[in-house]
Amino acid sequence: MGGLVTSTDSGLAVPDWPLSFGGFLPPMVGGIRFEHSHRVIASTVGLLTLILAIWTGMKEEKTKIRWLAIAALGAVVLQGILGGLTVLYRLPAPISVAHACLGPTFFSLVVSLATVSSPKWEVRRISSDQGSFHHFALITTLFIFLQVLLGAIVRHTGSWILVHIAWAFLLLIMIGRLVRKALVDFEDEKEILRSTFLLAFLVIIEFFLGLGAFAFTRLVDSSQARWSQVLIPTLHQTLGSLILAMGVVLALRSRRDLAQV
Amino acid sequence: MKQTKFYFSALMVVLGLIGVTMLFSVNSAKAVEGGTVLTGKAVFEGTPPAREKIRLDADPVCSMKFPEGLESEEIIVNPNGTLKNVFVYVKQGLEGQKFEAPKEPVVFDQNGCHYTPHVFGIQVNQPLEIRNSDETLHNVHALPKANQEFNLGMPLKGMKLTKTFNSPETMVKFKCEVHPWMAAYAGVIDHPFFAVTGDDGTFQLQGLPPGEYVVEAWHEKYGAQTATVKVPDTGEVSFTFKG
Repeated sequence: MGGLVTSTDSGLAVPDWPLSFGGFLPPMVGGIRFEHSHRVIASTVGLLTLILAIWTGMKEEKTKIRWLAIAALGAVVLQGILGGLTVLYRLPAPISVAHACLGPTFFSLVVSLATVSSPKWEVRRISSDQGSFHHFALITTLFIFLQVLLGAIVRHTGSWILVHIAWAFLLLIMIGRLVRKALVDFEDEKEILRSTFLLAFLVIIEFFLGLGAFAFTRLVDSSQARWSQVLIPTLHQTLGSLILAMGVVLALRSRRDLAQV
Repeated sequence: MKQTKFYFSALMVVLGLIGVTMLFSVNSAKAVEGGTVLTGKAVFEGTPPAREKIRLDADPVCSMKFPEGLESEEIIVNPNGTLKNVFVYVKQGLEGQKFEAPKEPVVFDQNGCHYTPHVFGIQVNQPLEIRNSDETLHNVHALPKANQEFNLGMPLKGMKLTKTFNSPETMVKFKCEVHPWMAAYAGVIDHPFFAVTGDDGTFQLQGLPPGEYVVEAWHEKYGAQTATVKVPDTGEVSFTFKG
């Protein structure tokens, strides 16, 4: 939803915060449809994360998982504050970029929480000397995060596009190497192989979506945002979040296997 | 932003190459009581582009008012081959002179989900009265660089706000993020010698003291052009220049 807000340039359609035009339910017209829906969904996510944190605190025995839930709660609260500040200060680039990066980070935290609290997480897995794969998956995930950051800079400042494109090529090479390592180190581990292949597939789709976003937003001149100019960059941004979360999950899974050797 | 400007500039170069040009001509400068009347027009050369159709279905109030939609005001070529909404002002030649800002406000209205006027001039410290004449809500977002940016909600019909700009600036963009097709531009000038071309593409700068001036004409799509004009004590001056 945040991606749609940016793509439709609706970020300031509701000029006040935390209220919307002084109330809770402004008429859902024009850009307000995107901005206010974003606020409503964000509030719901915040509430659900609060419930999740309380639930985890009460039911979960592992301290690390409890801390993970608290981190997710902290992230969603901070995300809400950044969202408010970006409206009140009329889209200052550093805050908008931070807001755009914290969203995928929060998503990754929640996905990690779901992964490590899953009953399947307890199942002992067969593993071998896969330490270098885990480290490489971790570095790749860090590089994915930096790409999310670069994408946010491009979206909110219009600059650094060439760095973003160069980084995309670098990531393609890294993902290629990750796939090769997975085939060598985890040839019998279907779960890791499947996750790595899926990650590679999504990165390739993301690459082409990025090219599409570049073409439609930079090369097409239009006074009105066309759906292609809205949907493709939004899909590009959303898939970026998913890829980051998948990278985190892959790094976690390969580490778990190590720990249980 | 720099990238966007780059591609925009590239597009302008391409359009220029295919023969779309704005010619800004100053026809005459006549001495009148209290100064000179400088007249001219913005001529459009090339094939007039079709005005882009704007769909208003994002807001039922707008679409009810204009069921057929609106036409973009970015490029309006008048039937006589001139260009509408060109902002013309004296850029240089009045330095050191002080001109008091008028007390009466410039009215800037949101009516029918578009801004009226689309391009206008205002003096530094002159009140700008922003109105909402629509049954729907707008946010009016001014994006100046030298002045204070503002983004204000105007949820009710009949609502009025007054703002001023403290520094000269050409041009200040206004937009409404509720209705993303809405855009307008203001030239904030520290003297009264400015005008906007209308349905006949002409302009008049009245009461200009004799002297040498740099006059600039600005259009939102075709950019700015300048010319040096010598305004005599009496008589007329006529010249044309291309951009």
